[in-house]
Amino acid sequence: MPVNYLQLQSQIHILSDSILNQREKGKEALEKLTDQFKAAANLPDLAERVSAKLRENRGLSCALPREERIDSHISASDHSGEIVNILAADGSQINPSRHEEVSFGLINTAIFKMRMNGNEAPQIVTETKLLEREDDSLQEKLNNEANVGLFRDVEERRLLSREACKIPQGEPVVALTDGPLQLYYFQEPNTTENPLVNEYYKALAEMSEKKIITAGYTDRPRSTFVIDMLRLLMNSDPQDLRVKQTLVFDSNLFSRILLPGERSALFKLISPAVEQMPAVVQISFFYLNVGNNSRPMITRIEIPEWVSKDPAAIDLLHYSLLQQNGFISSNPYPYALHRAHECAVVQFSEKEHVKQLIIRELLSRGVTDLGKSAKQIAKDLFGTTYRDFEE
Amino acid sequence: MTDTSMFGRILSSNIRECVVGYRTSESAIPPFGSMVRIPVSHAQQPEIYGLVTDIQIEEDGFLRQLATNDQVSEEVMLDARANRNVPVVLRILFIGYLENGNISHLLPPCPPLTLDNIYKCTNAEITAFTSFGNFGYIRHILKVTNVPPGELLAAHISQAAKAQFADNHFGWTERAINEVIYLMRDNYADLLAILGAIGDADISLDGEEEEQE
Amino acid sequence: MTPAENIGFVIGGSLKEGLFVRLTVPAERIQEGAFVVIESNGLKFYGLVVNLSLKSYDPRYSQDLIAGRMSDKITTLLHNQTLFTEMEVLPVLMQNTGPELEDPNYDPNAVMDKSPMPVKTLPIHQAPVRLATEFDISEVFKPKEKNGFVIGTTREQGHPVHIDMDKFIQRSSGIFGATGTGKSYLTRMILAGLIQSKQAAVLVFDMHNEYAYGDISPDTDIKAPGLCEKMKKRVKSCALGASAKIAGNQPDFDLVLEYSDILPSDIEMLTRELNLRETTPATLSALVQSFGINKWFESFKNLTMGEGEGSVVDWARNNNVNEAAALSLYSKLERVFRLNYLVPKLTGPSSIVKIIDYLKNGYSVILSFGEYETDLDYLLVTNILTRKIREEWERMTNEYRNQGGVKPTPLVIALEEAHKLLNREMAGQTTFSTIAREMRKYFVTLLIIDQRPSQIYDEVMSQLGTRISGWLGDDEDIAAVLSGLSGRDSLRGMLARLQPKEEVLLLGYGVPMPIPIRSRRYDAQFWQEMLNEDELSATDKQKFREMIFDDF
Repeated sequence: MPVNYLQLQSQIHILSDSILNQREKGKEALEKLTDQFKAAANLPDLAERVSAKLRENRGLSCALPREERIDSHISASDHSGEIVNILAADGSQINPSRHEEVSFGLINTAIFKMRMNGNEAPQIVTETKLLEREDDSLQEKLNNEANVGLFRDVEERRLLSREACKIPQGEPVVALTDGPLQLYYFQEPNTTENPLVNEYYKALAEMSEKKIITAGYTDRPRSTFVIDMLRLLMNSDPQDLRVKQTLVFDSNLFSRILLPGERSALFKLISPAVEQMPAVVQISFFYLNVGNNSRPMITRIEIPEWVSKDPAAIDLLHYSLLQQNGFISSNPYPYALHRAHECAVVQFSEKEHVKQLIIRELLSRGVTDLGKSAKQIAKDLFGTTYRDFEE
Repeated sequence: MTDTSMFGRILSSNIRECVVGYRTSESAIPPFGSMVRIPVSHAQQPEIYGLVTDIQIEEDGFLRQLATNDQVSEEVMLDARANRNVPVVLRILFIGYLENGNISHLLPPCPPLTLDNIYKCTNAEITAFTSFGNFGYIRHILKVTNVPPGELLAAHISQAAKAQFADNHFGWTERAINEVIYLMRDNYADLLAILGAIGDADISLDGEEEEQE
Repeated sequence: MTPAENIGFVIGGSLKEGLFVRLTVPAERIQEGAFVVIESNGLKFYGLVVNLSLKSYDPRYSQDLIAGRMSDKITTLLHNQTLFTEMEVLPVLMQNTGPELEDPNYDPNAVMDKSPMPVKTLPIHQAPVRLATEFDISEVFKPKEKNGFVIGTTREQGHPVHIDMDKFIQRSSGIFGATGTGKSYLTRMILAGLIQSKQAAVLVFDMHNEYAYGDISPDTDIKAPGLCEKMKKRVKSCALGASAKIAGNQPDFDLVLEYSDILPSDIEMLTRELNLRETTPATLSALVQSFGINKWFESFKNLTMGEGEGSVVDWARNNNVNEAAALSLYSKLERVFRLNYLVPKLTGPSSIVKIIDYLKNGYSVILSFGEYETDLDYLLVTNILTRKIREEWERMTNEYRNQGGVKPTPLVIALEEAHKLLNREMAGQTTFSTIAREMRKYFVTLLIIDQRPSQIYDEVMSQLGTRISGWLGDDEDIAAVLSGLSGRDSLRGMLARLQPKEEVLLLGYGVPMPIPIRSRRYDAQFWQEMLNEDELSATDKQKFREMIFDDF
């Protein structure tokens, strides 16, 4: 049925009012926070103060200052002409569906490797895995999707580590993934141990040994770690602290602080989930302005412990990210990550093709009662149109 | 498209031609006039032989963004050339088919419905098809409407001649041109245009004589 | 190109227009007049190429020079398919060859008439066409062993072409060609062939003293041998006038006429030559009445001019003849009265009788006119002699037919400058036209040799059987040679394009189909073959070398 636009009209108006209202409030909040930030930057022993506050309020997430002043804005050194290996990983998945003729899950992972200043064509490695079919209950379905997602994340890190470790020692390697460095899995509370997670640790450990500069790149972050740190410092009401505020984000704050190409100070990420992780994978982060004078664009870069202790590595990472973003200056995003995504994405036609291959195999083995669910057939008939090549 | 298969989607097809969309790297895009083979569906169905009569590179927004940059690194350029799959739409004219090991120059009994793979023909396949019968398939080429037939013929004859040489068959080019002249001699202007295109192509007739000597 | 190779295929045509053939070989390999064979469904068609024309699929292919616009190779391929030559073939004969061995209708016992016959149908579309082989030529021209005379060879491949002498003598025939085209040499060969074949006796009226003892060619300065020299045993030479010689040679005998041999019709025939008046026939009639048929001439000659008894005037008065007419006739006959070879009475046997006796017995006679070169001599003598021959042959034939006597020896009278005797005006007056029209029933035919056939009475021309013609330039002459023959329009151009002294066109009764040929050389080799001379003395060899007639 078509959308009831008539009903929407007034609702759009109300929504717009709300948004504008929020923006106004946000502006006011931002002014306040900016002042607080500047004041905090001048506080001595800021890190101990925040740590003490965290001990008082267990279970909170926020940023913990490290060695650099929190109001630092740092430019990258010039590494032009240096050979640097940039690797990026991305994956895509097909979730099992009981409505199709055959339910199957699929992970497609791609690693994009480019050797800057090496005058070589970048290489692409892709691996595709079919997942075993699970039971068909609703709960299991949810778990299946989550499982598939977890499996994909782990596969990305595993493959990234494998390919990064292949590069001979002596040449710096920057290995990127999209999104937070920690597995999404860890963001859920009360998770039981999962064997896939060990795979993840193993991958990180391998990269640590080889001193590979690995990072998670988050575009348009909605994180409030630094603001939460400020709130922690300024606010003594524990109840208040546990309420997440959404008026202002760290990116709003740092868009006033960082000039184009500058990074913020390094912060340690404190959260209950991160605390469960081994020491080697303790996460730090910094914000990076990849925009221009007229339009600042703040991204968050998460790095593991071994990278955060290496200023030279951070600097090289900083420079490399700016270089990667510079290839698509009209829409800054690391080129290698974009290409990894392109190579990983499973097109609708490919999904259909894989399904047909499975069906053909089953038919050849005598299975003849395959068919879509009535619901799916009806949906297909309704005229779902697909763009030629992309989903 | 290399010797490995490439798959895509049939966008439209009828008994004379089909339009295929797929992604491939720039270096693997089949050249204009090259011969391809399309399996219809199962092993028992005929495989269709066709000629690439049009190649459309669809717009790639990402490449457009790259192109607007002041500076593009060498690696990015190499990546675009060697790795990047561009969306390509091929128009393929049917010129015959292969059924149970037998070649026919007639239009295929049914068009492809789904596309699994599309293969670039090997020299042996080109030679076998173009040597079969008496150039009956050329009449399909002459009726093509979306490109000048002369250009298509010149490209095809150029490719087929090379395949014939490679397979140690001589004299084919002369016979092919003779057949074209025979079919088109009632139409002076069109024939001269076709022969002009053939003359411009890298097609050696003298080379065949030298080989025979 | 081997003879059996196809040169094209039939693309159209009709019985009226002939056949159109698309050539599959380059045009320069085929000449007008080529003898071609078309085989189609058990029939073999024999024809003559009468025209070649350049054609193209589209006129632009031939009009546009595209050579510079594309490679030579492609240009060649294009031209091979778009430019072609069309050949027009005059089909003349067809032959039933029956089904092939592989054909299910083949019957080895079937009897069918396989001799060539006039064309009655057409070959199928795209029937293959090829040049005639020697076998094809022999199938058509069928030389019977004795009577086939090789007159020349085909132009393309040099296959010998025969004339059937049997048929040649059954009707009057002609040898034509403009001055200098080699008529006399051709005539010599034909005469030699005729004589050699023994099918007929030949009487040659040799006006220019060429045939008996040969002469020197004005073009090459080489002496060509005469018939009397080479065929002594069968040919007698005769010279007009007592003790006359022929080019310094002593003839076998001479010809002298008696006054009594001359008839009034002989004089009437000389009307134009002597410019006689319309009153001449009346005057002559009166003379015959007065003096009798045998004496009128002598008596008239003996009359005197002037007045008085024994004068022309006197006689005219006495016989109711216009005096002026008589006087006019007398004065105009002075030329005849003065002729040396006319005598009142022969002392020995009549030369005419001698000639006739020779001819009856199968000998050939060449009458050379020696110093008597005027038209008057020619007209008078040939007419008198021929009249007597005709009388004799009529008598013999009637005797043969009615009383079962000996069949008369066929006689061929070879007549040069025939237009002088056979033009429209004279045709009614001379014996020759009678011979041409009727005398084949009496085993006498003419062999006309002339360079102006258009001057010959067309009724005579249409009666001719075999015609052998060299190059002719005049349209009327060409039309005259072709008169009475089918397909003459197609052959017209061919006559005008013959190579003088090299080529002749054979057509008519004596040949199964018209065909241009390269004429045989009248040379030592000719005589060698004619006479089967196996050994030649050194002197003869030298003589032959000198005598070789070589146009090149």
